[in-house]
Amino acid sequence: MLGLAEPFSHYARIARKQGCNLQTMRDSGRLVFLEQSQFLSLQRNGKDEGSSATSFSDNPLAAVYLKVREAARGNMEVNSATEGAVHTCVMIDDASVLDIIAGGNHNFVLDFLHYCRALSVRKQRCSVVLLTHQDVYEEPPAFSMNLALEYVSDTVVTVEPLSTGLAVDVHGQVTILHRTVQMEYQRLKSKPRSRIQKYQFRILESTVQFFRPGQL
Amino acid sequence: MGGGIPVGGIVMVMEDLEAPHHMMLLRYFMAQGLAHAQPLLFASPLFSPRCFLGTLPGLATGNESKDPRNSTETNQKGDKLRIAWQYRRFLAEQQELADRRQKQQELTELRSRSALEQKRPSLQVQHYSSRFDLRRPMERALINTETVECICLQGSDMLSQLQEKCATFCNQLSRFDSGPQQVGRIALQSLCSPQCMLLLSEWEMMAFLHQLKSTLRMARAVAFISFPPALLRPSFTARWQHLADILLSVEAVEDDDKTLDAMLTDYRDIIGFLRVHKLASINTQVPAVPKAGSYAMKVLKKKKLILEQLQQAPIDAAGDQSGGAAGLLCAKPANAPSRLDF
Repeated sequence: MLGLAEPFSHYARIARKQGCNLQTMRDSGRLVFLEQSQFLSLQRNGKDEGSSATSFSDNPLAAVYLKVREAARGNMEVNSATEGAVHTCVMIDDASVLDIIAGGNHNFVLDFLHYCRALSVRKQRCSVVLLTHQDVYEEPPAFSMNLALEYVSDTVVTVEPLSTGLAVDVHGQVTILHRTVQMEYQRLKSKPRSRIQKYQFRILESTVQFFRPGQL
Repeated sequence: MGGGIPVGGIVMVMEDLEAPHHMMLLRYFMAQGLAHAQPLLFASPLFSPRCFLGTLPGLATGNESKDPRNSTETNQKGDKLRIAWQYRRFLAEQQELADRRQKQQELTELRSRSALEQKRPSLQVQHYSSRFDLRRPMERALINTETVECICLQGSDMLSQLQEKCATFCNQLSRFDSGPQQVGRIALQSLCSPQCMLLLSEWEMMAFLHQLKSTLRMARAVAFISFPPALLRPSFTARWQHLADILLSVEAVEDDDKTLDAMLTDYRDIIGFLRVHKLASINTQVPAVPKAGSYAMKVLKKKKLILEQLQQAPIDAAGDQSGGAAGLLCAKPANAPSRLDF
């Protein structure tokens, strides 16, 4: 897990309320948590977007990628010892911070994400889950980022507040868009459903309630 | 309001270019810190930031400033009765809550480490609800202490200096120390004003803010940052807003706004509005929903700053179109014995 937004204790406390002890998982090596403070110093000084240098070594995110790869490979050894689940998942909390580490060069970020997607452990590709903010890419130089991110993803989950404002009972609505044929096929095998699903949700301390609009 | 500023949190205030109300909030934030003799780091694009400390409101004298801990019950009663609650009380409650939370954290840490038989230093009784008088300047003795640092946000190596100062400031207040418990306050005024952005890219500023956030989370300190969103590109404003734990904005009122005048009962006294956009939700996934989205800022007798929930004047039913329908629905049946029977 690449925790760029909050310290480990934040995630651990929330997960503990949901019955999952991240600390023991971290101790056993099943979870590798990479903190934000390790990476922010990597930011390139004085360079802004549009620079021509795009080689791997110039990318400040290369160091981040190497750490992620090292963590994933280390994870593989742990898993082979315990014979547990072998599927590896890279989670990135707040991918918009990656832009800051890259000094505003969005190509670097896309490169990094591509490398993460291509990362394979034991001939099985890792899955990547990332959180980002749509509104930080609404200006011309970064305009294509939203589309680019959507293009590379299999499933897009959009979380937004209700258009009528904040409420205590309904915290917002979530739209799930399944993009790829493979995912579609898997879903259709179980139960035919539409490609776009829309729910409203309410977040509680230990769980999240999802319901169809108007069915609270 | 959501339980106050949590230790390690960032409060951001979006400034209004036409009104200096953010300075008022900043003054209260700093004055409260100084009144508790808490370490303070103040950075501003002004040429001499230390001069600004001279404009901080002084403590009000008299029997007004009571210790809330000794009279918690009466205070709670008073809170219920009082419609207009004051900013300092709000700040004080926040601080108290934050401190309590922090003490609990300390305690659990101590337990888990089983560092035992270490007597906790006797807690200083602090007057959390200090009252301030805007007309009176802060006492010199409180300002000229070693714990108060000022930085001018101008010059070529401003950011590195600021970064360094913040890092040392936070290191002194590390959560893992078992020394006297004190919460430090960092106040950064108009961080992205043109004076300090001359030699900096916006990305560098963002990196600094993220760095600051991660160091704050590990320290017993809170930061209060004000910035003019109109001077930033919209995408960067969004980034700044995502970074904040508590996001507020201030807004000036126009002098002769007839619609507002008709809507609000005490429009003449209001100097501005404070809007609450986001409240802190650290260590929890449940978002905090504020009770009220906007507050009116008033200055009473040039002395006190008061925050008040907006009160709308009742709409005159006679002039209202829906009055007829309501009258029809609430009308008495034809055979009712008295006017009040339905």
